[in-house]
Amino acid sequence: MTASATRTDEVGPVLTDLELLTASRAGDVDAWDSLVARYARLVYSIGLREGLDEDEAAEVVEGAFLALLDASDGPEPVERPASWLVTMARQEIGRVERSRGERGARRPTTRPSEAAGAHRVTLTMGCEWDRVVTLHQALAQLPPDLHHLIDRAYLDHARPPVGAAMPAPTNPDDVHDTERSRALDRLRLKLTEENQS
Amino acid sequence: MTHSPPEPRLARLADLVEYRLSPTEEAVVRRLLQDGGPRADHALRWTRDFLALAAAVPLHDPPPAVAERLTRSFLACQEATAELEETSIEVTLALLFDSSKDRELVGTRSTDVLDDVVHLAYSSDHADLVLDISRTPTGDLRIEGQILPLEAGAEGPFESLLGLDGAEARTAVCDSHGRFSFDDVRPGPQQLRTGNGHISLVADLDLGVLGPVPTTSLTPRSTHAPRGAS
Repeated sequence: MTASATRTDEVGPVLTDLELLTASRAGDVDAWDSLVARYARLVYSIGLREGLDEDEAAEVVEGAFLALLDASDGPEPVERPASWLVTMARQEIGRVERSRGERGARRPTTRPSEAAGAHRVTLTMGCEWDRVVTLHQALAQLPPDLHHLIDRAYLDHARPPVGAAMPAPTNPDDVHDTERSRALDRLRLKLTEENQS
Repeated sequence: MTHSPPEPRLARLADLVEYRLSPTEEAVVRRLLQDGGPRADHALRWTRDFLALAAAVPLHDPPPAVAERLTRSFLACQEATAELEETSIEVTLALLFDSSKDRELVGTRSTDVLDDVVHLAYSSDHADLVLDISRTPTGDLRIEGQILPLEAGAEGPFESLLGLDGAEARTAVCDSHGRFSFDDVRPGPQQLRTGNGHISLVADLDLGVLGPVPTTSLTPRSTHAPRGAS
């Protein structure tokens, strides 16, 4: 799955997470795949961030999404699928870590995100995780090209390191990074809407 | 008519925060910030917040097989749900082992009376089922189970339904190892039905409320209402 995969569902008006989940429960496999494409990357990366290896992080993704599928059919409605997935991912991470402890396996000394030179940002409080979720919800509502641009420039683990110049824009006339600014403007607007809703 | 000074573009602000600008470019952006007043300051604060959040979880691509497995699980779930609604083959499971009663008819699982978990093992000609039932701090129960197929027709993926006839059923999709779980289960009688589209395995659970851990027993039933019957 790549960043571009997150764009496949977005032709015309972008469906909300809840609309995708509702369609999934009605049996729409495309809606389900779109939901997976939107958030599997985030859930997987949270697992890596918390020190899991790649297989364990993949297990967390599957566990979180299957739990979402279960919950969407349960008595309590899932109103914010992204938030639900992240909460469930954190529970799954705890389960994997406990399982690893029972097996006597050692935690990796270097987390993949640290190895990649990423900033370590403390996200211990629920409200901070909420902000991460809100950011990704807003991103999912952007037009695909803008989403991809922001992903490549700011979110991907392989983005240009701090201090390095950004790659030249695709359009050679865009010398002032107008496209990147437009993408950030749209994101800022979406985040304002998300925070007000 | 007042004239608003031009704001620095957000991309340029991000580049400034991340030390990506040449000295000349930086001087231009700083001058715009100085002239831009509170709106420019607000834009700079937003940019810093965004960059911090973006850096908190650098994104990695999961292996493609993850999405493929989730698609297969989804389709299997749909099929199993449809089949559960019109079950053709239904098997009542027989209880082989109940750790709460300290009786071990078949020694397939260990009994630990100190771990506050009741272990149950069921069997049929098609598949075995093991359940671990524990009490949560809220007084409700957590049920963790695993289906162990014995023949080809009983292979997964399964979907499990937990509920009481006439009450709203809850579902749990089994993972590739046949494992599933239910949280926040109320003590009392429950029916567990688990199916894979070809076969439906049924067990009635009497999740009692006495003692530090629930007492559990199986009440065999010969017929079962299909899902949603009430």
